[in-house]
Amino acid sequence: DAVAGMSLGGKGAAAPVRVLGDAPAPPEQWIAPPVVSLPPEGQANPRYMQCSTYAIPSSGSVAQKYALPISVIVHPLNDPRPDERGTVAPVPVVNFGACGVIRCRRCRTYINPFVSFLDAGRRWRCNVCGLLNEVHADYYCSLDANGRRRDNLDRPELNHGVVEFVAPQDYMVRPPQPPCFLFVIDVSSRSVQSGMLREICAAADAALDNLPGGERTQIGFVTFDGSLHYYNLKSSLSEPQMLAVADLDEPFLPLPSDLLVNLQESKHLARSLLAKLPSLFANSIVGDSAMAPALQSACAMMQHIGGKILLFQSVMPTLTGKSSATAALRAREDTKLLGTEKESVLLMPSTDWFKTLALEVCSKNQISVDIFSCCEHYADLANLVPLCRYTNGQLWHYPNFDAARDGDSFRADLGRALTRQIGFEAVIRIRASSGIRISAFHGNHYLRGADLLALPTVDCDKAFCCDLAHEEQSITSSHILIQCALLYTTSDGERRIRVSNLNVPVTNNLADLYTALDARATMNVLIKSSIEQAQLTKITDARSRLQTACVNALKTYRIMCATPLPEQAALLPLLTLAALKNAAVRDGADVRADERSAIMMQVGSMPIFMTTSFLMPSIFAIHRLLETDGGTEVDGAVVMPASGRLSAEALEAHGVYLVDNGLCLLMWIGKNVHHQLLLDLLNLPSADRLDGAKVNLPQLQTELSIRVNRILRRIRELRPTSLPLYTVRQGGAAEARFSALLVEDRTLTTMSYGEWWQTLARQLQ
Amino acid sequence: CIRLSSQPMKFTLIFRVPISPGQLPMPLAASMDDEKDVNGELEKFKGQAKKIMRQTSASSPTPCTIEAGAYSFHYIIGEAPSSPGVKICFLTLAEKSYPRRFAFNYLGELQKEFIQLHGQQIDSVERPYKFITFDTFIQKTKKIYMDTRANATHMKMMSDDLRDIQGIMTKNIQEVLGRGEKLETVTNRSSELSAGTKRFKDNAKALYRELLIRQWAPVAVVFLIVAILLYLFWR
Repeated sequence: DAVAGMSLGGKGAAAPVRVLGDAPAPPEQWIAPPVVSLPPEGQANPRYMQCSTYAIPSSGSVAQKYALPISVIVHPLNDPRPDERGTVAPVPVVNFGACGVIRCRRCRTYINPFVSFLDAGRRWRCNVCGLLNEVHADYYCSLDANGRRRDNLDRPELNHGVVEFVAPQDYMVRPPQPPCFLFVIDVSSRSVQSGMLREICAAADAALDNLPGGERTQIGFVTFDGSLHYYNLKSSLSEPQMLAVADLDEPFLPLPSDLLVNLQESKHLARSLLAKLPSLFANSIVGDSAMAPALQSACAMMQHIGGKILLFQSVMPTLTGKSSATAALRAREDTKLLGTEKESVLLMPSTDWFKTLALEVCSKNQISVDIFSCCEHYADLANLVPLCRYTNGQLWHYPNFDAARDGDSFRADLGRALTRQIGFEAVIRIRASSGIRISAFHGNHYLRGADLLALPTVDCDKAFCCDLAHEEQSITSSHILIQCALLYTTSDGERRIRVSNLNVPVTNNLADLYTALDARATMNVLIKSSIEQAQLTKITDARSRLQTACVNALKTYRIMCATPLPEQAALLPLLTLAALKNAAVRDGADVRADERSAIMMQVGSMPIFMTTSFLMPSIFAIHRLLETDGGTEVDGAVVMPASGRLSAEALEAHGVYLVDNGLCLLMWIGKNVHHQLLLDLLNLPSADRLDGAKVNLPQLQTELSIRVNRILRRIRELRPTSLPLYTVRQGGAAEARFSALLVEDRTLTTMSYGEWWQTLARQLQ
Repeated sequence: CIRLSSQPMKFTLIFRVPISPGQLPMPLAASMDDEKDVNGELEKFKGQAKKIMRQTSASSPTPCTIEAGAYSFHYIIGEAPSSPGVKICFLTLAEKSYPRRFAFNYLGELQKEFIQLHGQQIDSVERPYKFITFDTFIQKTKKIYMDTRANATHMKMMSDDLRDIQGIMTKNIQEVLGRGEKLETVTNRSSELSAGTKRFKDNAKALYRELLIRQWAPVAVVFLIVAILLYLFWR
């Protein structure tokens, strides 16, 4: 487009044409609602399913010009939280009964609100492949004058975007499995001294009454240091019995049963064991860890049922047996490599053993592994991460764990891991209308076959994303249906199929993709795919991928039209800059290898609202709270303050700022802060000992404390993490971590937001 | 990893028997697996159990044993006193060497407890494995019946319910499932036969044509020669 590219006068003579307009500030609303430009009837609620852009190009050539991913992000088990139960309706459940689950005969798409009924209601046309299907006699209903079924409103599958079907027997390979939890605990001396063992026992004991599964829940314990210890929890015993096995070469189970027991029947024994474990190993001086053999026998104990293994480690695994010889890890972190090209080597596993265990043993037997890593030094998490990634598990990282400091968060996280909503023996398949196919998944996933996601367990905190690619022929229909089907067993033993549908319009016009773009959803996909890149080749490749995507997207838009960038597209540069500065992929030597591996693993499963906060944290000026901030509205909802600019220039030296990045909370205390403020908020006369300290905000009777506590409670309600609160003083040693979150500022390796915006503007001329 | 011993009762299935011909059987509860099915052996028997489930009807003999190689299926069909006409089948797969009287006692105990807990709700079941929570009771009962020698006292207590094993019908798995297979071979054979007869018909037609040609060809040739000679003669 010639007009936009023209500069006034000769080369470099006049001021540059304002091709991009002004740089937009970060959004003020904490966790802003998704931007969906679709009519809502029949569409999945955005909390379950979103697209990176709500317009699909009609052909592959248009898609290629777009330069940004065209993807769908699903968060299937994102059921309403307790605080939402009044406002958000639960997913409707449909039991088809005798006629079975209604699916297209040819392409196996589930019935959805966008099919059309023809032939007086006797047939229905599939909107994915176009086939005319016969309506089962039990499902028949006549049509009204508009061609809709007269019982449309009574049938949730025909007017809700997300429905759950009760699965008949052919959707089950075996009877629904009971929830099963196996604790694999490192009891080396370090574990006892750091207090990890005590915290595990306290948290597990507190959660015992709330484990999902009711009377069917199965539970077991394995502890390990230099040898393996099993526990007989037979319900007729009065005390749990410990059986130690020193043979690590071919670990065998000393008892055929009673190691994994019914929780209800053996609860008194489980409680007794949890109470005794800390004292049992209190005087341990064993520093070894036979983690790999412990994992092998844990899998052997559970493989006939499947379920969740919770692995707790305090030291790097040192002992292996003959059958786990390749699992030996060594301290290979060289801090000189950080910030160089060779850093990526530290992010790649040095042995295949854990990945093989994950794929060959865990995934096949419906076992998923969660890891709580509490090592003092380097734990080589890059090797352990595949164990979680390929089994849809999760990793919690507490570097240099100390129970006095991290105990609260640890207990909260472990409690959540044990009691959150969870599904078992699950698979996901995503289908799209003809003309579009599912091409690649990003983030943590394991594909069985061409397009089936194998999920031994699936919980309410996991999201999945996949790219949509075009087939050879152009799309002729006006809309594309994207359908995600999750087949899983609930913790109550019911087999269900949760189906989410999005009906997205097709367009020839490239500009429509920019208008319908959702920057936060797009960034979620981009950060996950760039993390994949970092682990395949180099971290620098990851960064250049992010940068190129942003620049190319804006260039393409500028070539097409002279109108200002749509609001969402204008957010892209800020989000891209934030991603380049994020601990996951940023340049520099300040992020250790373990931390990077852990963050990459965590980001891989994050839903959109979490990646947005993680890249671009919210910052609240506590000293400038409005009258209404932190108060409650009529319906009881907490009024959240507006989020400010993420720049040191915006920080006032007399102020206190609270930053929320989804994983932790940081409170920055200016050097000139008034001592009354500190008294009202923290009950402390000065900020002397508050640099880099972990703090539990006291519940004081002051107006400020009440309001800030309410705000904190609200933040913690929405987050799936324990969100520890740290304080940082202006000018203190710990301020560096806080400054890293100020994404608008210049750093040693990246530009400031203003400079970046100018660079982009210049590149687009 | 090596496991030391195993349960004699491999798995148990409880299902509602279809009353009317169109109805499908509805599984209500099943046992949990005790160990990993390493060679896929158990999978085969579970498949057979599904087929038995489909073929069981209200008129099937009860109690009954179906022998299947190294294992035997045992089942009883009972009625829920509160829902007349609704029949429930309790099926278990046990090692062949396991004494039948214990297997049927085990099934009897399951029946008593199941009817007591869920007897009222059986006719309103609308989804498979609605009473999957019963698997904890199945698990406990299986353990009691695991070691026949050690639990001889328990068995003695059960002696009033001791089933008269003489009266239990024994069938062979081939017999039960074989009906379906034989039908298949018959249809195969009949389609083969009809294909064969068609071929025969075509062959016969071809032969007849050949015969006609053979019969009439010399005559036709002679006729042709005579015609040519006459033609030449008249010239």
